[in-house]
Amino acid sequence: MFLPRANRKIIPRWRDFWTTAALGQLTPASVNSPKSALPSASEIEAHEAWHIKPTLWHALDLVGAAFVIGDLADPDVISAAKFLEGRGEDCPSPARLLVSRILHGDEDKADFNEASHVSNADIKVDIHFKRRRLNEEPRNSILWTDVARLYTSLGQQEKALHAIQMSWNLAPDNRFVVRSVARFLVHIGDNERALRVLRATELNQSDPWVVAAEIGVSSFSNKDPRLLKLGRRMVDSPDFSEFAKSELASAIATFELNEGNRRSAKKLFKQSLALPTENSVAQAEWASGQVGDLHLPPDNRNVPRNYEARSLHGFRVGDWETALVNAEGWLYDQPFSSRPAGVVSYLYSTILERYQDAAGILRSSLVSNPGDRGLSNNLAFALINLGHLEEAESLLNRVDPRAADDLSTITLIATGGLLAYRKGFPEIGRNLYLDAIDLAKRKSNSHYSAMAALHLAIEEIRADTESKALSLKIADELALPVDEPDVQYVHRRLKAMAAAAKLVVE
Amino acid sequence: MSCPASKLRGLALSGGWTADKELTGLSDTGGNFSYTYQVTHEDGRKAFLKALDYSRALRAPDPPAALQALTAAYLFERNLLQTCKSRRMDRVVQSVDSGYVVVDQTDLGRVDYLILEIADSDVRSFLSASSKIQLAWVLRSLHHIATGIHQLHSADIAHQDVKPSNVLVFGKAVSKVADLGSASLKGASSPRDDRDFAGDPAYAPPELLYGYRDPDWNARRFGCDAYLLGSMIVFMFTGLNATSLLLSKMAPDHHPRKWTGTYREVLPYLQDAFGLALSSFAASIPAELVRSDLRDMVSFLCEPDISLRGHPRNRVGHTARFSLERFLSKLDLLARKAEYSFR
Repeated sequence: MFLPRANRKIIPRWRDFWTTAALGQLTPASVNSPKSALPSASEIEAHEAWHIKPTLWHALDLVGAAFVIGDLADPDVISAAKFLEGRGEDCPSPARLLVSRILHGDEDKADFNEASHVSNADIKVDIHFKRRRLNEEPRNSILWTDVARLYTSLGQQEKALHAIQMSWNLAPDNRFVVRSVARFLVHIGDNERALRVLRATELNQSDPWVVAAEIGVSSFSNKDPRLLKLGRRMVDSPDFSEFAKSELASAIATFELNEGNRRSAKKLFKQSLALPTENSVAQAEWASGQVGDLHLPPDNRNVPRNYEARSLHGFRVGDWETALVNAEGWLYDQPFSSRPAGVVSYLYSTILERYQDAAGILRSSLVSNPGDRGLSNNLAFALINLGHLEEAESLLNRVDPRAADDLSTITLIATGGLLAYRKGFPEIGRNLYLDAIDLAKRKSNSHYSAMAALHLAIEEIRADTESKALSLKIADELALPVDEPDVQYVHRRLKAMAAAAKLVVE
Repeated sequence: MSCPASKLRGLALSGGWTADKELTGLSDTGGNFSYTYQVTHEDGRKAFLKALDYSRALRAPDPPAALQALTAAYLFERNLLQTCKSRRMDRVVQSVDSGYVVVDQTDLGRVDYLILEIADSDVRSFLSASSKIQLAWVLRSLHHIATGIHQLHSADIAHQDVKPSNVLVFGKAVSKVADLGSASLKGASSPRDDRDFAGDPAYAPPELLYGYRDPDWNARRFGCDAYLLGSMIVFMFTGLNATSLLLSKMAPDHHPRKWTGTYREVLPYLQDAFGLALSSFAASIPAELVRSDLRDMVSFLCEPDISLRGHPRNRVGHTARFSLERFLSKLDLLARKAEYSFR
């Protein structure tokens, strides 16, 4: 099974506009004061008029005016709002909504929801409404960006590309648009163009969020970041908030780590956690195994949508429930992304043996990531375990394991071995597994070599072959030194099978 | 503290006027402190008097500057009102008289004043007193407001403070725009030229709230008036001014009180919110007969991007970009439609 956990880089998350705004990621990066000096409610004409004539329309006027100047704590504004609430339907509907927000909502914070599953049918309905709005508002770059994200989730890349181009044409210097465009282009594998977008915008001279994306996407593409020097100045600058600098510090830290500068990386990772985004926390969680303890809080509950980091943490300590629940949250948050789908399917299949659930997730994710090698492998694995051998074979036939030199190559070869065993060809299966183990060893990947050996031994015991004891021995040898919880978990399962089969390893 | 401007009640003024009663005490109409009275003429006509309070200026931190500002604003408004009168702007509240009265024999005993037409109510009081608001009345009132602003524009005057308290209702049928205290005259310096907000910030168009000052006078001044006309349309149907409806659809962090970035940076978010605000506005219009036209009008008049504001057809040919003529015609037509349908 393919587990996407290598080569994590700070690539911008892509959420819908309202969620991104509610997370505070669309506020100006600078720590300056607001430009306009607005009066208090007691200074405006509507305030005095309400005192003299406390009528419905004077109350409406005052509440609207006070909302514009942002002074809703004034007792007379509150009394006008209560007056309007008491007038029920005499108060026009938009004003009623505003009154309700003033009296019963939290005006300082946008509504914020946890990520949840959205079906394809619901996505289509959402697209329908947004397209209708776009007929009226063809210059709405935000709406085009949101529509592009929805199309991406459905795997309709042509339509998504058109929508994202529209948004970029309309607002090439808006942070939300530029980061979303870059994320989309990385999703479809056009990293070069993503970099061109990030390097063309005016924001790359002033906005740490955009500079972070340029450094992150460059590192992801194995290119030299062009904004590294500027980024270093920005992370040291007191002109930007810690929150605005979080992903920038994390992106530079990751670059330093890649360059072997662990000390510098560790310092920057620590800075990225001063007031972090969840992306920075996930990056630190991922990096903590390489740079040493970053003193990450165990849960980071204060960081919204911190699913990936919590899932990684759960995985690292073998808390599968936590790992799964948060990996699902991560997938709901980034439904077009292959990484969370890979992790969820890995947990369902390898750990929990819930192959049907794994197949469901993977089928859906392959729609938005057509041809993804890791996801295809994982779906084939789940299908084989469900007994759908023909479908699995057809799927594997469409993916050439050696077409790319990545970790999926190892798992695709091993899954080919699994298929061969289940089809009754243990010799072919064994050879494929041994090829996979050999390739993993050559790549110094002890996790994959151990996993391939464990699955080989499981299949040997299932098939009751003559070489099962030898396979069990190899699996023990490769799995024992690996202290990763998933390897240990599958190793325990193998030992239980071996005991049931009355096999003893010397 | 008692001041001469507060002592006019019962005094006989020049031109046959007598101050009857003080209306709302000290008020800051456009930053020019004044007292207001109802006055009656010998022939029985009623009017509205605005008396300048020099004593307040003398208590300011910089009295000479305050006095200069007060008198400059007074003279500016008086001249504008004379222009309105000479051009017979029948949808702008007219001056009836002006002059001064000596209240006592101290150096500060002289009180200058303007006498203006007196209305029966402002639009808020009128709407509140109506048991059922007729669509035809609302549309006719909006047509009158648009006419008033258009009349001012034709004399190169930008009002810049059109809001519910400055829309006055005469009898039951006539609405007029009032208070030129924040106005600007094209080609001349105006007392409020150097301020961030010429009019009331609580109704200001978004570009001003987010600190953008368009270098083009027409865009800055007439563009503001176009927005405020659209805002009055929104107010009549939703009870909220256009800016409050717009901001209610935005993330709280993007509110002008919190925003530290530029107008250009916030513009895409304003445009997204504007789409939602327009839908909300359209849903508040009870009659399908006029819904689509009113929605279009507000979308043109209140467009947050000032470079796109105004009627789209004004962008071609020789028509002034912020000309309100097309809106006048449309409001007139809609008002007629509504008047016929309710007969």
